Amino acid sequence: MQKETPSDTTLADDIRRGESVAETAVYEKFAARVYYLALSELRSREDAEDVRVETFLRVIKALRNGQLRSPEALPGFVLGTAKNVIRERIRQRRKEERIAQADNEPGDAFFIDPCVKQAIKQVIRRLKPREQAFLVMYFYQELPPDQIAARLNLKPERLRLIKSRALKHFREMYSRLVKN
Amino acid sequence: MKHSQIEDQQIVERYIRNQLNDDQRSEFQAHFFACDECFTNLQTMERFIAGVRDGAESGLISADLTKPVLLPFWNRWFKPAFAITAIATLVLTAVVAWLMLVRLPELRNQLALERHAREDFEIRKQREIDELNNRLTKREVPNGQSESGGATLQSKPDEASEVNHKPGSDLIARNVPVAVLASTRGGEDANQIKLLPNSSHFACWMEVGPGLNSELFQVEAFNESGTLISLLREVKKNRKGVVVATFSAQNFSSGDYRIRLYGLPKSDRSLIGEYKLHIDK
Repeated sequence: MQKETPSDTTLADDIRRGESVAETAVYEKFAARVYYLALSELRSREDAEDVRVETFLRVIKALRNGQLRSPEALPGFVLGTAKNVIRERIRQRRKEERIAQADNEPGDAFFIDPCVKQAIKQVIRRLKPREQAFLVMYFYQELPPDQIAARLNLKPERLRLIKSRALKHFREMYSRLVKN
Repeated sequence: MKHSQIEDQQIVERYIRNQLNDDQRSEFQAHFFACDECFTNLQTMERFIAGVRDGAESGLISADLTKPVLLPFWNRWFKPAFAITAIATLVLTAVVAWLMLVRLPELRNQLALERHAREDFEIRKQREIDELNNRLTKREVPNGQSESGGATLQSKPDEASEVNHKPGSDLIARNVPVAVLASTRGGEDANQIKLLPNSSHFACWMEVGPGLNSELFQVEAFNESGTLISLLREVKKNRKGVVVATFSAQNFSSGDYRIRLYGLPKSDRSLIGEYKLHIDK
């Protein structure tokens, strides 16, 4: 699954030797993942950013000190560190009684941006009314597929086809919009 | 966790919708931390779902769409009815085509063959009748003895028997009523014959046997009071020994009659048989 070069082993070795380029590479490789994980768990952009910064401080420090016994385990090491930081943040938020307030915020809002809205609009425009209804029932109302199939008079296999086709179209539209 | 497993079990979507247990969740997290492709898919799916939810909340997708869908008129009634009608039409067309292209020509051929056969039969029959009549006519001229044309038939029994091998068959062919007379004694019942209104002649068939010497015969018909009604002279017998006497029907009315058959030697005549005949008109 490793697509990027240099490899995780090389990166770990380079950081231990004090090369800052390798530290940047490790950050670029895992920062989005750590941020995504923290955002989906904490539902706060600020907290997610804090988690990301704290996680990489700990990871880089450990790598410099040569605490990573197996360089191949770098992704797992970053994930474990991020989870620890997230847990600490949750405990801290409970102490600050901010959990209830955070829970009231819609979690999906963190993944909405103008490009997403525009892409969804174009996807919806290309769908038939019944296909649009399926997406709402499935992702918004979270009804079981068999119930949706019965209500819309569609076969269950047809639902999966609609979903994958809409997702594919969304991916294309979103990529195009982000590039522009 | 492998890619195929992630795709087949829709792990990405279930991760976002919190439908994985803790182990599966941790396993997938470990996977997408090391796999760029899965992390990209995860983010895309997250945005897509968030976008759909946002679209539903913002009214981009109408809530009316999620109401139960009634089957359209086409699907509920018209489509099956159309299918049935179409099938029935196809079957009917096939049957009509078979009748028109196969069965009807066959029947026409059969009809033509039967018509030809019937026409041939009628032609043959007519020829036979004409031939017999011609022969009868030829015989009538030299004999010329019949009463009101009766000799036409009685003058040629030999010829008729040669053709049909059945005495009197020419009479039957011409629809002349025939009475086969048997000799009567005492109070025996009379021979019967029914004459139709359109019967111009009737024939009496009397068997005398081939052994009799007489070649020519005389036939006399008397009514109940003993009056001579009709007389036929020089009637010949045929090879089978049958004398056929043809009388004009207009001289006879309903009632009992007595028919006398005489042999004609050259010098005198002798009574061969007497027959009772009852006529119904």
